[in-house]
Parts: sequence; C-alpha cells; structure tokens
Amino acid sequence: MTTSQDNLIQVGDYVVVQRWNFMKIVHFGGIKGNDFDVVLGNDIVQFSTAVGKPYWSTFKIIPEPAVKKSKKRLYKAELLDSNENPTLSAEILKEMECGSDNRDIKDDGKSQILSTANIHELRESGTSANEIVGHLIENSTTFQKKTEFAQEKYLSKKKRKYFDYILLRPTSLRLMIEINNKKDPSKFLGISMDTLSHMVTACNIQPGGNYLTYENGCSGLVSATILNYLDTTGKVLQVHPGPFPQKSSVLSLNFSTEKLNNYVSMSIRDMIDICKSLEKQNQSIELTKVEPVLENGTETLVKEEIKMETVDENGAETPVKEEVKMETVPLNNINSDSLNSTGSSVLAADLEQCDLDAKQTPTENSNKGNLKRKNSDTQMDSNKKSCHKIDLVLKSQVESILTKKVDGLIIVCKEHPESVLKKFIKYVAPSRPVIIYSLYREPLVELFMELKNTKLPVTNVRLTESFLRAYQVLPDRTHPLMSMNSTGGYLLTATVVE
Amino acid sequence: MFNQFKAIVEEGDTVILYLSPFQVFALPVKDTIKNKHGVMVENIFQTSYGALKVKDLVGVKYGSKAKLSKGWGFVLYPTPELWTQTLPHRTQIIYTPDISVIIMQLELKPGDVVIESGTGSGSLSHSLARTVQQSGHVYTFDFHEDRARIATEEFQTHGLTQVTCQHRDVVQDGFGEELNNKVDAVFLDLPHPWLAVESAVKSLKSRGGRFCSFSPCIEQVQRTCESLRKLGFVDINTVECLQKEFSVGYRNLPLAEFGESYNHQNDNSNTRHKFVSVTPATPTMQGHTGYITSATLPPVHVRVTS
Repeated sequence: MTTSQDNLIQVGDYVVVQRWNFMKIVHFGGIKGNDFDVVLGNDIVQFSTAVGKPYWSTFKIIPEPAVKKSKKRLYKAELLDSNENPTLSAEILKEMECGSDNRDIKDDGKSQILSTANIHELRESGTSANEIVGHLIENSTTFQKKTEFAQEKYLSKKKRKYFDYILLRPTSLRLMIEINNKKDPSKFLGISMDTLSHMVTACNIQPGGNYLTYENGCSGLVSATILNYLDTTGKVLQVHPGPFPQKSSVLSLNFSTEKLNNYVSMSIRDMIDICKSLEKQNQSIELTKVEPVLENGTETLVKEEIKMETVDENGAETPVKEEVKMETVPLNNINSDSLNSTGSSVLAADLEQCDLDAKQTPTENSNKGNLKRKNSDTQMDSNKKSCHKIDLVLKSQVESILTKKVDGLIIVCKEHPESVLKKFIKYVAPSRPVIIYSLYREPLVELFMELKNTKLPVTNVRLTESFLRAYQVLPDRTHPLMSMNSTGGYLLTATVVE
Repeated sequence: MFNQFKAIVEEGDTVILYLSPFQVFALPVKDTIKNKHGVMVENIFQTSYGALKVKDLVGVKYGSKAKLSKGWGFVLYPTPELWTQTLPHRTQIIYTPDISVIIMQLELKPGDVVIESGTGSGSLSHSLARTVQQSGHVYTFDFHEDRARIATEEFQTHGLTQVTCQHRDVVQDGFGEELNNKVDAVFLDLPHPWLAVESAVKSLKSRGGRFCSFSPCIEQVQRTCESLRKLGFVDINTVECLQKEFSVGYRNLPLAEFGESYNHQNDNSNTRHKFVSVTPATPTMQGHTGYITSATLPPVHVRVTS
C-alpha cells in the first residue's frame, strides 16, 4: 500500500471509518476530491480535518447547526486531544450496584422514564454521548437490578448508537470482506472470508505468476485478492462480461501504482476475439511450418500445444483446394495485427511457402457447406474488429499472457460456470489449478459430473463447502455467536493435467 | 522449488505423485535415498500400480503422466497444500482449511516478516513462506531440538531461503532481541500461547501488526484473549473453520415393488432409479481442529493497555 506507508491520510485514499464496532470503507474526498461528508446512519460527519493526519487517529464529533431541514444530524470531526480517553462506561459501571439475576425485571416497556423526544432534545443540544448514556441510566428503573454482564451489554448497545468518537484506520483485505459481509454478503456473491481464503490457497499464488479470473457480480473481489498476494512481477487478467470491469474492491485496497499496473482487465468480447485470433494463428503457423518466434522465447510446452490444437482443427476440416484462399484470409489478418503485436513475424517468403504447402495437401474429404460458413465467420470477425478497436498494448499483453498459459483460473460469476470453464481451460498450464465458486451447490455438481464424463484434462477434482463459526470469548461468557452466516458458498477445485 | 513455477522435473526436485484422492505421495527426485534403517538404497517407490524409479522422472513435464509398471499416475508440481497432504508427521499438523484462514487473518503479503512458533512438522511454514515470498521472511521457532533440525533441512531441500528455523523456547526466552519491532505478524501454536503474547508485542513493528493463535482448547483461548485485551490488542476475534468435502457420483436405488408384475424382468432401468448423489466424501469428518484467535495491535502511539 502506497499511502499507508507514510501513514498519513490523504485525499483519494480508501479509509476504514470505525464508530465503536461499526465499520465502513470510505473513498476519502470522493471522486472530485473535495467531498469529505461521511454518512453514518442518521449522522453526517464532515471529515476535512482528517487530511494529512496519521492513520489510527481518533476524532471527536461535534454537532453542527443544521443548514437545511433534514432528518440527518450534522457533525464535524475534530482530532481528539491525546489525553482524552475515548472509552465510556467503565467508570460508570464501577459505581453501580448490580443484581444477581433477572427475577425482579419486568418487561412492561416502562423501565425508561425518558421519552424519545427527551433523548432527541438531549442530542440536539449537543450533549456528549457519556452524558446521554448517564441520563439514560439514571432514568432507567431497572438498570441497577440488571446483572453486571447485562449492564455491560446494555452500555455496549447504547455506545453503538451514541458513541461520539470515530477512528480512521487503513483498509485491508480482511477488513474489506468483514465489513462487506456484515452489511450485505450478496455484494460478493456470498463469498465468506473462509471460502475466499480457501480459494487463494488453492490458487497457489507464486511470484511472477499470471492468473486469469472471470468475474461477474463480486466487485472485483477475486482480482483484488490475487493482487494482494502477488508480487510486482505477476499479472491478474480479469475477464468481465460487460464493457467495463467491476473493480471497486481492487480500488479500495489502496494498491501501489506498480501493483495496479499488473491488473489487466478485458471484456469477454475482446477476449474471445483474441482467443480466436490466437487459435487461427496456431493453425496457420502449423500450416506454414513456421516455427513461431514469440516474445518470451517459446517454451516446448507452447509448441506442443500448438501442434495438438492444429491436429484437432485439421481433424475437423481437412484442407481442400478451395480452402487455400480461405486460409490466407486469417493469415493476412494475423500478419497485420496479432502476430506483429506478439513480436512474431511471418515473412513474405513464408507466406508463399504456405500457399505451396496448402496446394500440395491431399484432398481427402470436403464439406463445402461447412467450410463456407467458416469462411464467412472469419470475414465477419475482421469486420467486427475494424469497427471495435482494442487497445493494442493491452491486446499484446493479453496475448502474451495466454500464449505463455496462465498459472491459475478462477471463476466467480452469476452465470453458469460450465461454458466459461470450457472456454478458458485450454489457456491454463499443466499442474495448475482451476477454481470455481458458486453460491449454489447444483451447478458445481453438474460441472463435477461433466468433468468426469467429458475428457477435460483435469485431476484432483474436489467439491467442498466451508463452515465458519465465530465465538464470543469473555470471562465466564464464552459461547458461539448467536447468529452466523448459514453458508459461505461452494468451491470446485481441480488441477489441470496434460 | 517451492518458490517459483517450473515446467520440467529436474534432479533434486520434490515431486508429487498423484494416483487417487487418497494416494498422493511426495517423492524426492534423486538416485538414492535412506531407507528406514538409515542405509542408502536405490530410490524406487512402490505403489499399488507397480514400481517407479523416481530418478526417471527427470525431464518429465509437470502435470503429465508417469508410467508405473502396472499403470500410471500424474506427476504434479508441489504446492504447500500437496505438501501438507503428504508430509512426514512429526507432530499434529495444521491442515489446509485452517492454514488458509490463518494466512488471511494474519494479513500477510509479499515482503512481510512473520514469526511462527512452534514449527512442528513445517506444514504452516510452507504456506507462510509462499505468502511472504523471497522478499519477506519467516522466522520459525520450536522448543524441540530434533524437530527444529529436521525442519531446517527440509526448508533447505525445498529451496525456501526465506525461512529461518531455530531451536528456542519462546515462552521462556522470547523471540530474540534482534527481532524487536521487526515483524508484521506473529503466529502462535503453543501449549501456553498466552505466555508468549508479551513477546509478540515486543517483536511487532511500532506501527502495529497482526497476531494469530491456534489452540484446540477453549481454556487456552480464554487465557489468550485475556492477555491480548490487557496488552492493548483490538479486533480480538475467535473462529473455528471446518471444511466439508463431497463425493459426487451416479448412484441408483431399487424401486419399491408392490407385487404387481410387469414384464420388465430384464430391463434394469425400470426397476432402478439412477441419480447423481452428493454425499460426504468420508463417513466421518473432522468435527473440531482448533480455535483461531486473531487480533490487531494498533500503532504504538495509540495503544491503550490496562
């Protein structure tokens, strides 16, 4: 994290705002860089005083006169005096008597003498939280009969509401998940902290690794998580269904520019174009018997893959004489955009050689209808390309990631994952993981059976569910929390093999 | 080896031989190994599908099939998870589901410095090392001298230069002066973790850091939490994590007979109903491993101790 290294809160940072045990992540300064209003329930706190202050500073909120008639109360934040202690209640409790059980407490709704209007007035008049809570206790007929533990619980509840100290702290992956899942787990498609941790572990993030994610509906959580664990030489390639990536999670972790440069996003449409052109490229390369000279020094692995794929393609459509023309279409196409950008070159002589080779190939089988359709598809593709331009730098980046093959594929989306997996699994290097998350068990069960039945090259296929139970640990009051998330979703993991 | 991906098996690597979900083995790729009597013998590994001369794996691609005399298995790249699954147990170990949660709770990232105690069988150490990478460092301590020595050798064999393992009783002697205010996170798996919390505070950086403790018993957790509260930790949180694995497959059940005879005696599909079943992968599952207690130590200027 860039900004938290110098430990000062700066405009543009994402900051965790904590009031007692309520937390929220705020883009400090907003999009324009001049909006410091933080909404906390019914309160709006003006935080411009926090710019340049160290993280972990506590601020006291002071009521401001309302400018407009509104239901929300206005406050301004002031840095807390270092000798003022932001804890309340401990002192109050010491002097209080307490009961041993609740036999004398009746739930008649009359225990609090102060009315809602009275309390409202107190707040309006700028009375401090300590004093308000003091009043509440004084006017409670039952407080002294409550047990010591019940008193503490009562105060904790009141504190949450009236606490007038606010802490600003740096964001982290852990806090981001915790905050989000407390508020609305559906924003991350129900991924719980433990399930996410199991996904990262299965992904085996290594320095210099390239990871492909297909994300839809989780605000870029997976990309953010991988970036968090990646060094500055690896890459995350996020494929997204719409025209723009969902990346609010990536932004809210305050990554350095160096790290953000390793985050590459591409729409599924552009991605499919690139996949197609890479496939054609492989096909044509085999046809021309040209050894591909790729940017990063082609590994044997890549070469073999190329051969394998071409065999498949040729098996489906054996070259015929009419095909010669057709095959040159993608070749020209490739020569003009994709090959150049990956640093490869196809010389004119090679092109001629290609024509010769193609002419010499024996005619074994022809399915003209099929071929023609293929041909028109190709043309449509090139038409599409001309009206929709992909950033060339981005394109070559993605191409180089795909040709090298990725070190892990993670799919977290609203769609059924099967087609996505089948589309991208061929770009995963052998002995590397594929990880698919779903809130529902059924799609993963279907996918599990599909992996068993079709001969997709995977092994070590596992379907798991994680169970996380949180505990309250207090002297003489230790027990699991009363409410918990009933599911954190399901994971299907597998290892790609040859 | 564990620090960077590679495509081809080389001599000295540790490879994973995967035969089935319950037959996974870590094998050192070398000519000879010590047998149980300490004598050097040829490195031939016996499986239920026949023998494998491990040295022959040199040059094989990770993720490809290895021929055995009566079948084949996959040669996989070793990950900390596969290592956890196959490592020689010298102690009770922490398994992958808990390891994952611990790593996330420690808020580790590449370049961080982390303390682990005790080392045990080095299961968690491998994952910590992967997370902090070579730009970071893992200092791991064990009060058992032999364990510390064997673990040190293992880290060396696995090329984990970012791990330093030391024989030390951290409850008695702390983590050492040289680590004062140097680390980003501390992990404890000790019989008396609450006695090492004070040392953890000393070692954590002045800008604060994360703490995590793994204990099987609730009394250990209570004492640790008490100690954490006293020393100014915040966000104190205890969880337990269990992972349930499913086995998925076709199964069929006979249809109930009501005595009415149809002429489907030889037609199996009419007497049995086939369906996809999802059942627990093992008849018994781990019901409890340990409680994971984690906490944040705020920067020194805002710490409130009691």
